[in-house]
Amino acid sequence: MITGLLTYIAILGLTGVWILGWMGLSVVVGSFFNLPLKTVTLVGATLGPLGFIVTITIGVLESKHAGEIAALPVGGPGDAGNELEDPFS
Amino acid sequence: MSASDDAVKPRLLLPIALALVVLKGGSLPWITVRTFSGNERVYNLADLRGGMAVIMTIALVVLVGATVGVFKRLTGMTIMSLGVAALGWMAAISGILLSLLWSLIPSINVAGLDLAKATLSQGSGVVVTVVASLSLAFMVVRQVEPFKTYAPSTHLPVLPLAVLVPLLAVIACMHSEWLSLGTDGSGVQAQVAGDSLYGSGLVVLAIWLAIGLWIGALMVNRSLMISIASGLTVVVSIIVGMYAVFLWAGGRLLDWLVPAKLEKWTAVSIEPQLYVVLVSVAVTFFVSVAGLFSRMQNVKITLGLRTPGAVRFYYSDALGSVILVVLAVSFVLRVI
Repeated sequence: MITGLLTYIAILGLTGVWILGWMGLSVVVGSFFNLPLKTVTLVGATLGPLGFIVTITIGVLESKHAGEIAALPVGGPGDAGNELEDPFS
Repeated sequence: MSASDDAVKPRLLLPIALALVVLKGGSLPWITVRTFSGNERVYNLADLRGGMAVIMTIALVVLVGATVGVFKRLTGMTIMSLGVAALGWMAAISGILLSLLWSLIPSINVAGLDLAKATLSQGSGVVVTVVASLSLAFMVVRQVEPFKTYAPSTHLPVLPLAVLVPLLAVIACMHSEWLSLGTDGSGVQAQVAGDSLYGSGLVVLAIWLAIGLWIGALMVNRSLMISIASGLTVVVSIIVGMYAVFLWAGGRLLDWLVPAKLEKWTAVSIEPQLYVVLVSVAVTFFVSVAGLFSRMQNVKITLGLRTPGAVRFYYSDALGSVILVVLAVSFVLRVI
């Protein structure tokens, strides 16, 4: 009875530590890439080491995406010749 | 709730079916010990003291998740996924830890068995449990931002599907016999499984990682994901291919060189699984190499668009129904 109880606690405890550990690592990496906390928590908890890799991949993709948006000119090609003068200058 | 909202929500049948597959995996063999006397012993979670209590706890979490899922779909799926992820990781950790230990330090005792006189493998339950729990986890993850924007809904990339089939065959065959050595007189028989080879524990770990990455590539539709998965799979398939070729050549060589009069191993037989591994690894290698080219990464299959007014067909419901039928049949066969 006691052995069974201890095994039960040990198995669930070990798995819990594993899940929490990978969740923590994913949260750290996710915060580095400014990913939503809810998402990285879920990814790390359910996917474990794989979630860690997926978080890095999505983080890289998101930063690349953000970089592309930042590199776009404020006025599109259709705005050529339509620049307005700044009334405050 | 509008009809369009209902169409966007994930369906509940497939997650429940996958959760039941994970629970079923808990009763399948997790560890196989093959002694040199030709005996084979299998162990699963239920064999441990307190193991049934663990399975019942997970089943309770799944039940709560399914009930919550009726009202709050994503929350319910998340609860189910966390529950089965625990069981999936238990299977993965136990199998990998023991295989890794044995493949590096063969002289350890497990459950009173001297593993220097036996070989140790992961059982089929690990494959079933881990694949089903990872699939459910990805189903949940693809519903949240920013994964939602990367997840395909009407198109599926072909490469992950083409790699996953032979790769799953490889991991299943890694846990089965590749070569049998026997003696006529004493009846001693050694069965050499793929994951009992020296250092194979790390290779099995890498194969699992590759499988996970390909499931991820199926869900996160970006070339970067396919490139990472392809790179790892190319390396893994080369290593497994070398294991298989060396063992095949070694077995053949032993068969040719060792005359039957010698008292050691007198019968060497190459098992069919070794040939399955050789073919699967070759397919995996060539498809993974193709995955490194962007032209191949963009090949997709269309699942069909839903038109308003037409009768809706949900692929996830169809797959979930098939899984439930298979589970019901296996249950009936077990009872009979």
